[in-house]
Amino acid sequence: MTPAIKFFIIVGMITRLLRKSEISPATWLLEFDREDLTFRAGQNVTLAPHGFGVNREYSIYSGENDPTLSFIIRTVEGGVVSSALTDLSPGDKAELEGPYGDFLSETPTVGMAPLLFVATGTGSAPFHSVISTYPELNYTLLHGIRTVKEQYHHAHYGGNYISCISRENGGSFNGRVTDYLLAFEPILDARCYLCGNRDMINDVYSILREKGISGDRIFSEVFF
Amino acid sequence: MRIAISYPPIVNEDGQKAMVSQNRNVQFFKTPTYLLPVIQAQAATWLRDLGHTVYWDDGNSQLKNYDQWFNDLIQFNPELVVFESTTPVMTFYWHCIDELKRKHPSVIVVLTGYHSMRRPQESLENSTADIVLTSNHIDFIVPKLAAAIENDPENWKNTIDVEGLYIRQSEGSIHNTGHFRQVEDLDKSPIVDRDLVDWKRYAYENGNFLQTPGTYASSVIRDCTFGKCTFCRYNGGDMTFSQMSVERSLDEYEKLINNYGVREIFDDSGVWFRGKEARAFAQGIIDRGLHKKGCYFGFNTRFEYLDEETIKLLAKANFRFILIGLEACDDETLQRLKKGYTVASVHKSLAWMTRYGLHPHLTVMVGYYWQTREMLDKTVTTVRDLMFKGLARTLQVTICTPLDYTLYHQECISEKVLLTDNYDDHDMSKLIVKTPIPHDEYYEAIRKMYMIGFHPLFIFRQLIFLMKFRKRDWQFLFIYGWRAIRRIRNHIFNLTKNQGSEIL
Repeated sequence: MTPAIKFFIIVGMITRLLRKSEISPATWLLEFDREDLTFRAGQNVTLAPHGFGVNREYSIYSGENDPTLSFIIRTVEGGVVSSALTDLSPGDKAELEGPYGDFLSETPTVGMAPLLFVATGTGSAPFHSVISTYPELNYTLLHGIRTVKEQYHHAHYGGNYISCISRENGGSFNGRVTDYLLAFEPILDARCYLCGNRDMINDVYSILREKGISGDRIFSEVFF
Repeated sequence: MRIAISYPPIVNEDGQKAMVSQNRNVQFFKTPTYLLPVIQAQAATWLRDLGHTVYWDDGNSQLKNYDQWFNDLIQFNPELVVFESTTPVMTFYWHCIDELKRKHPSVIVVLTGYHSMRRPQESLENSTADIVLTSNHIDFIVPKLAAAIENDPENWKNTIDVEGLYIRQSEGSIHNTGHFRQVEDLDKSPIVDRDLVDWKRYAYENGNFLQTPGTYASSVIRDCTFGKCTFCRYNGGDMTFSQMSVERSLDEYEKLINNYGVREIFDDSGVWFRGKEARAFAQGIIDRGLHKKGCYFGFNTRFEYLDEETIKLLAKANFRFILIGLEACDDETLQRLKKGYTVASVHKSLAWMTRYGLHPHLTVMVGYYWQTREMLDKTVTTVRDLMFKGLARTLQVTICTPLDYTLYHQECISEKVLLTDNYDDHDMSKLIVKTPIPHDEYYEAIRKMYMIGFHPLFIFRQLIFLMKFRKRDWQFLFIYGWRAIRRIRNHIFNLTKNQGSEIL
């Protein structure tokens, strides 16, 4: 088997929750034992409490070289998996399959074209993983959220982080990411990565195209 | 414009028809299932709404032979013809397109479908096709293409501003208009006009329907929510991630039941709604009283997607047929296929479904290039166990065939296990990859799994189901059962006819 193919071999594993913390109301950072899982920043896994019988895909929040495997999970009303995961206690077992996906189609390098990351809510997770892995990148993270408290770990991104807050004052910009982008002059050769809800991705795509960014430079990952 | 959405009849030397449509894996059958290709049907509806003259040209469902189909198409005098491609019919299509262009040189031929999407230049080099769509959003792109041609008939190839196209230029070069928009708002695409596509032609010959007339709904998810399985075409950079709203889909169901008298509706989305959308849809069916209209509902899903409460609500809303991929029964294969579930979860998911009266239908595959005898035996044993226990009601078994340059297809090429470079051989009638055990053992496994349907223990289980006095269980045994005998014989013939003639 060639090394390239070997890299993408996925694993099914039982892991344990090490720590959990509520990073904003109803949103939790869950840190699991990574064991020997290898992944690429931007990838996701399926995750469920052990023996639960239902799983969901979650983007990995931690970096490629971090000692633990972490996720940010927002409990969704009626969301059986998110509720069950955030109810886990340290030491509890979880099932994990993956990693999957190739959202970051190109391995980031310092000299590459600038990166524009646009996320809503927990859609910032893959970008956190990328930036944790490649902290020297030339990027801007545009984060659409409802409240100031949802600026998850924003200090991690320094001056590259722009929060667009829609339901209260505060953060970098008051309004949605689309409002920000309408007033924003993008760098035409930027590679744009969009992650979050479908409506945001649809609208942001239109705005970026209207501003002259080629469709070949826009990459999307929808959170269903 | 005069636009034909065309499916030519493709008949093999055994007199079987290729079932091209709805992005499915093509198989040849004597007694075919006619599937309504819903995205093309939405495209046809949208084009008609925009004022184009649309010819719904499905030569298969219209029971035409090739010459009849071809002559009728020429008679229509199309300006634009749209075909759907997939690997095993590519050489046929290239010849067909060339013949069409010879007879009718001014026609613009558009190839859609996953094979040409992933190898657009190949089709432009091997045929006289004019355009290849690299997006599965045919309904969104073809109307824009038609408008561009109408607006600038002389120079549209140079002025067109529609992404997702490979276009043959006048001087012979190929122009790529760039990556297409992946996420579209499916609520903007019209619901299929059933009369335009002559829906009744697809309403009866379909094993997914326990009651007829049945029909396929406009898919609520375009491609697949999961989108990671390596053998499936709904995977990779051309995934479209689009979803229709629950209310809009409910509106269509209501119309199908009340205006057309449909008695079974199937949504062929790669994976249907899950979680809150699934519950909202089921509740919407109940709130509108559609669960009491004698119509069953069904969809594709995957293991570990639906929880017990959701399943219970779906059953209450009169859902019945749940098509679910059980591609293998060993965890190594499931992991290599990136299925995202484990064998351990299979029993639990199926038990929830059968507890509330749903009819799970397993889609099993054999013949992976790594599949050992032990893995194969495990699949047969587990499937038999599930069927005997009543945890699944029906099944289909296919040979895993590398198609449409999926990840599995590319892996077979890079691992040098593909035994043929002839696209015609990808018709799922035989194994075309090197395997660790003789091909005949996989054919025998297929036979064993189909024969489960005739086993006394399976029949006994169906009789036990009758004691629950659910109408669907009685229908299953006394209506579907008789139909199934014919279909099982058909399937066994198709999938084992190459037994004893291994290609090496």
